[in-house]
Amino acid sequence: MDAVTLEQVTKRYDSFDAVSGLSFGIKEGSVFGLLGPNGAGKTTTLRMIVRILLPDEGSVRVFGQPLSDRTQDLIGYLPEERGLYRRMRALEVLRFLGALKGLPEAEAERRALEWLERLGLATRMNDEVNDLSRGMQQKIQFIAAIIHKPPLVILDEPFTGLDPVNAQVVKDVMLELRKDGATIILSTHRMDQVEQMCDSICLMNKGHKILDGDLKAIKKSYGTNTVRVEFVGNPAFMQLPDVIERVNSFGEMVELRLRPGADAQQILRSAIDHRVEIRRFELIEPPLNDIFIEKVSGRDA
Amino acid sequence: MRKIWLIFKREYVTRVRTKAFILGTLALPVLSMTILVVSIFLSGGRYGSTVKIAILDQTGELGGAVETSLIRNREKSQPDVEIVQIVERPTASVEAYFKSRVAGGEIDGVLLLPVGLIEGTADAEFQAKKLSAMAMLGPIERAVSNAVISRRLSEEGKHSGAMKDVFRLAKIQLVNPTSQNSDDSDENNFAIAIIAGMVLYMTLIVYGMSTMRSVMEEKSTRMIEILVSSIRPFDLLAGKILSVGAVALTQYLVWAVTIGVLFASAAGLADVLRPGAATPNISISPTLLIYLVVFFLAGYFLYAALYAAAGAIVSTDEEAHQVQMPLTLLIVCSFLLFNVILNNPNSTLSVVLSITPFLSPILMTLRLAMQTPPAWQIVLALILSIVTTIYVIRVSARIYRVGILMYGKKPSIKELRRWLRYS
Repeated sequence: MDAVTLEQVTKRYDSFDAVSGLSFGIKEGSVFGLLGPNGAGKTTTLRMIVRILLPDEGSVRVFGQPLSDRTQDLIGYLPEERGLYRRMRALEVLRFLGALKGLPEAEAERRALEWLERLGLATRMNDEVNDLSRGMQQKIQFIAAIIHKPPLVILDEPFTGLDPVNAQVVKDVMLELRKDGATIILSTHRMDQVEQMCDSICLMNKGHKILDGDLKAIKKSYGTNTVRVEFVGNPAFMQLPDVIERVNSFGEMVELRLRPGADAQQILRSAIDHRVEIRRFELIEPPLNDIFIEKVSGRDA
Repeated sequence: MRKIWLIFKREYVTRVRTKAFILGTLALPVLSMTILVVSIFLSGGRYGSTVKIAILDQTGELGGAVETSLIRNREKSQPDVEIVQIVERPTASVEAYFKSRVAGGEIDGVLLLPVGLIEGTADAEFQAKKLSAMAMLGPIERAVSNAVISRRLSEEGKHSGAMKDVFRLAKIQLVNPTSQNSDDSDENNFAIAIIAGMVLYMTLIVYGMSTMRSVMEEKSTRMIEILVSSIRPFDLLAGKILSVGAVALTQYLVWAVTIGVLFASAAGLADVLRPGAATPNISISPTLLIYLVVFFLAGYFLYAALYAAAGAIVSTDEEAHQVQMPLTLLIVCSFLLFNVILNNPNSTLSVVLSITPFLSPILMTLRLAMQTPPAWQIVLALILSIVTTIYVIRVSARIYRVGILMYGKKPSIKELRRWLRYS
C-alpha cells in the first residue's frame, strides 16, 4: 500500500494554479524527495497532504484513507517557515504539540525529555523559546514533528540553518525513522542530500509534475553520459564541440556531458595531446543537479 | 473536543500568568477599596444622622418659609435636616457666635439670609464644615429660591398659591427624572448602570484586542502552520475564543467576589477605621450580575470573532491598527450612546438601540441596570445578537482559515470576499 496517493490534485489561486493535475504515489517505508525550483508548488502540495489546504480538484489519500481528523495524527510535519511560541518554555512547547498530536500529556513530556536529551538540549528545557538560538529552535521543531512517532514524516527543507554537526544529527534520526518503517517526504533544494537519502523523487515546476519515479531508475535512464575529470593543466583540452555537450566546472574538477553516441576516449586523447595531467577519469550517471537544471530550464524554454 | 480543550488550556494558562492580567484583575478591587476607605474618612457621619442647621435671617421675612420648604421637599437621597434655630435680624455678635458653633462642630451649618436677598441685590450664604452638610447645598438653594420667589410674588399681589403650584410642577419635572420611571428604582441604579456599561465596554475592547493579538502572534511566529497541521482551523479558533472568554470571566469572578466581600464588610470596616462614619450603600442585584455575564458573552463572542478575523488578515502591527479601528469604533459607538439610554431608558430610540445587534450587549445591560425592561425586549435583543454572532463567526472563521496562511499585503475587501469562496 502507498503511504500517500495524490490523484489529479489541483489547487487554484486567483491569478494562477499553484498545483495542477498532480498525481504520484509514495511507497510505504521509502524516502521520497519532492524537488523543484522556488514557486514550483512544493509547499502547496505538502500543505494539501497535511490538510492545511484542501485541493480544489482531485483527491489525497494517506495510508489508503481520505484525509480526516484521524489521519492528521499519522503525520508529523516540519514546515519550511519556522517558529514557535516565543514565551513558552521548550519542554512546555513539546508537551503541548505532542498532546495536540494525540499523545497523553505525561507521555508527551516523557518523550520530549528523551529527545531533548538526545539532541543536546536537556539543559535548556526550561528556557523560553525566545532565549534559544535559531538552530536550537529548529531542533525543537524537528522533535515536535516526530515526537508522536508518526508513520509519515514530512520535512520541508529540514537542513537549512543547521550547522554540519546538527545536520548530521538530524540526518541520523531520519535514517533511524526509516529503519523503523516510517515513510519520509523530504522537500529540498539540496540535490546532494536527495541523492544520498531518497529512494524516489518527484520533480515539479510551475505546479506541474515534470518527472517522477525511482531515483536509480531515473538516473539509469539517462545512461552513463557524463565524465568526471580531475586534472592539472590547460583546460583547453575540453574544446571538443563534437563530443562534449556541456561543461560543469568546479575548478580542478569538471563534469562533462557527452553528446549522444560520443566516445569518451576522445577526451582522454585530447588531454594527453594537451599535456594535461589526469588524476581522475570516471564515467558516471548524470548528477541529479544536471537532470534538475535540464528538466526545469527545458520546460522554461 | 480534546484538541479544543488543549488549545483552551494552553491559552488560558499562558494568559492568566501574564502581569497584565494580574494587574488588571487587582486594579478594580484596589480602586474600590481606596474609594471606600476615602469615603469613610471624608464623611462626617452616617447619612441617617441629622444635619443641624441654624438660619440667621436678616430680612426677618424668609426664615420660616425656607424651613418649611426644606423640610417638606426633602428628597430620599438627602440627609434628615433639623433647623435648630431661626434668628431674625441677628446682630454681628450673634452671627459670630453661630459661626463659632459650626467651627466647634456643635451644629453642622449656618444659613445666612442677608438684607437685599429678596430684591436680588445680595446672595445667601451657607457655611458648613462636614461633607454631609455640604450635600445640603442644593436643597438649601432650592428652598431659598422658593421662599424668595413666593415672597416676591406676594409683594406684587399676585395669587401666590396658584403660582406656587406652577413652580412645584416645574420643579418635579426638572429635579429627578429617573425616579419616576419605576417603583423599584434605587438611588444607586444610575451609578450601577454606568459602572456595568463601562465594565462591558472596557472588557469587550480589551479582550477583543487580546484575541486579535493572539491570532497575530501565531501568524507572525509561524506557529500557525504546525497548529493547523494538527487541528482544524475552526477548532483552533473556537478554543482560542473560548479561552480568552474564560479568562475574562475569571476576571469578572475575582472582581465580583472581592468587591462583594468589600462592600459586605464595609460597615464593619468603617467601625474599625472611623466609628460612626457613613458607608456608601451600593448593592448589585444577583439578577443584574447574571445579565451582565450573559450580555458580556453575547457581545464578546461577536466581537472576538471579528477581532480574530482582523488578526488573521494582517501581518504587521501597522496593518493591525488600521483593521481593528472600525471594530473598536463600533464598540465606542455603544459608549457614545450611553447618554441616550441614561436620559430615558424607555424612549423608542433607547428601545431600538438596545435591541440592535452589535449595540445590544452594552446598551441592553445599561437598561437592565436602571430598571426592568419588558421581557420580550430582552429576549429579542438576545436572539438577534445570537443570530448575528452565528453569522459573523461563520464568515470570520472562513476569513481566518485563509488569512492565517497568507503573508504580505493586507487583502482588499474584494479579495476578502473571494476568500469566502475558497474551499
